[in-house]
Amino acid sequence: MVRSGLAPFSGSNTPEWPRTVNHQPPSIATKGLRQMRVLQAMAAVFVGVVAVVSMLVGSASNANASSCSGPLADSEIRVVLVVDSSDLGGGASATCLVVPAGTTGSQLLARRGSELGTGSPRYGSSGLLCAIDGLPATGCGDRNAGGFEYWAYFNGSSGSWAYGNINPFTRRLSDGDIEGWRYVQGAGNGQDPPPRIGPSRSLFPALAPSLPELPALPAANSVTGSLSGASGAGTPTSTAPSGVDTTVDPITGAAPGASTSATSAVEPVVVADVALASSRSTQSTTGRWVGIAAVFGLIAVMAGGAWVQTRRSR
Amino acid sequence: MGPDAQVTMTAPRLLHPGAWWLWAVALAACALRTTNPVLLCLIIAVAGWVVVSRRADVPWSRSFASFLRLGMIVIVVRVVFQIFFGVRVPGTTLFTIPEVTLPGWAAGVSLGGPVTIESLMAAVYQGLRLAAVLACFGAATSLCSPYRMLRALPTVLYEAGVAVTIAFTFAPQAIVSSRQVREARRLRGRSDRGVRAWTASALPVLEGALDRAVALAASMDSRGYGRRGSSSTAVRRRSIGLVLLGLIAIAVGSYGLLDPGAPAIFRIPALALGAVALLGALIAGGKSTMRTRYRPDPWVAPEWIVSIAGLVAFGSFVIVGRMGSALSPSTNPLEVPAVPFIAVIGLLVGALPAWFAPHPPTLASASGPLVVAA
Repeated sequence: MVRSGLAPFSGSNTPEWPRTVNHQPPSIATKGLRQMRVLQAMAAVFVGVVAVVSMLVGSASNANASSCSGPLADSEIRVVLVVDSSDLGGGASATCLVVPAGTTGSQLLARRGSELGTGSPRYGSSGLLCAIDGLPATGCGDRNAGGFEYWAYFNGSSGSWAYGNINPFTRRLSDGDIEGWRYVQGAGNGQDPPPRIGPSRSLFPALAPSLPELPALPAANSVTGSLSGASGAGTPTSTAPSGVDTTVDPITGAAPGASTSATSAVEPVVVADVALASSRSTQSTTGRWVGIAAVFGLIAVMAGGAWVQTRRSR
Repeated sequence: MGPDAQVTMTAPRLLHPGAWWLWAVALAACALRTTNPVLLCLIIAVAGWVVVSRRADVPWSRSFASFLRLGMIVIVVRVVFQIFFGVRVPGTTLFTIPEVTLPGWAAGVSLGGPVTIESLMAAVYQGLRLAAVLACFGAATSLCSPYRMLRALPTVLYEAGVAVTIAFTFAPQAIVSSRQVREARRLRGRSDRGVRAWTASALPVLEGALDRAVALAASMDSRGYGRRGSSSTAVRRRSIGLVLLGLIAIAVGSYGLLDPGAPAIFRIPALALGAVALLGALIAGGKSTMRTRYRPDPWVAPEWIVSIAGLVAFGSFVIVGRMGSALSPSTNPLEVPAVPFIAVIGLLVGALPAWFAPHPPTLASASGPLVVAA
């Protein structure tokens, strides 16, 4: 069958309804102007937001804290955080921290990063935890042939690791909790392997003054390594890398053998890498601002050009 | 004037709608691959620049501003949702709203709590991404006539005739309808600005737009659009099944292509399966019906330039995505977004249609077959 069924809709760029609606010659120009104002306003708002954010980021502050082996103040709790990044070459470590009551699991993680000087954990825009101590450098919970590669969250307060189907942003810690993170490759459920350091009570220094036995620890990780040494090597900007008398630093500040007794070292190589990466990113910030300024200059030129065009067509 | 005279590089004419849509979809795909606010703003600027340079004087060419406004609403809504229901991302706390403790079975949801600058910036980035996608589709809607787009659709989609017509013409019809409703309000001496005018005109606008789209679909149906002709029931069922399979496979495939984390089988294999199924439907259906096209739109050099410009922009984003994390700047810890040079160059190539696409014919110019046909 031969049809030319589309003839009424073809060939013409005029609309099918009366054109009285459209009979407003100046409105194209004013509309264009308004569009450009919208664009300019969006750019201005963005630049303003970026400026405010950069100022806020610049003025981040440090809080005071008590030592993990010393007496606790009111509304303070003592928590052990185990981080196992052995699969990424980072080793496993346990860290005792004194934090305010009501601290969430993610705040604890951030606190650990600032105390050890290994940087803040990296999160994806969805809130998924991507990296601890800068490991892995790229990617976030990616899926490949072996399943998901991600930081699995565990709770060890009961004495054995329980896979945490809990949101670390909302989980409130209580005194004596043991939290664990391990970088795993797995199905993303409770079958995924727990951290290689067992959630023993002996991880708390004051509860076990003598050197404790760590179960299920692979030979690659040194049990007796000193955390303060690693942290001192990795963070030249750290305010108090060692010494009993410091008032600021709770973990590394205590005497070796007491608070760091249950801590296996983060391998110095990895810590050095992290420190390098962070210093690199601060150096290139100026270059990034220049690039952003260039692109917004480009956008301003486009907006100006569009404005001239709409003026001309008026 | 013969058809050859129309298809020179500079003569005013309407570009093939497929070229504009390809360009716009490529830019939207760029936007979907990134949360870098600098690149997203540049995408919006490029789309706006091309629209201002090459839109025709027709009612739907005003839709770009409406899409921009919609994008700003999206950003605001995204931020508000983040403040009240979002994940409690740690960081620099701006302010705290009262928190409701939810029972254990709702452990993944939070209601209230501290609002950090990190979470707000992540919300702004995501809202801006959606706003950029909306701007790209607004650009396509402004730049080409929905009727010509319908004509250019492949014949296999005729099976879904009415649905396709409504889907493609609803947005431009809504723009036209809203202008008419506002005009009517003005003529009655009522204000056409402010929240009250909006709420009063929202229902008539939506209803009018749907009515127009349905009327258009009905009139096209009465003129034979979407008819299968004298083909047998078995052939018709087979081709409908193939079209369904093909469309679903292509939907899955394009999702896989746009989401870098999707499994590999959902990318090229799914797209290929969809294409093969649609091709099969085309062959199965094409045997029984023959269609002719009245004055078909040409696809010549400017069409190639416009579509390739979009694809180059998309390619630059793919390359930058492979090279590092510049497309998704970290918001926790908050960092200054890097500006990947290759992506900026790619987007500037994507702006080339502002110079290389032909000017649309103006209604004022008396020459040209397009105006005479009106």
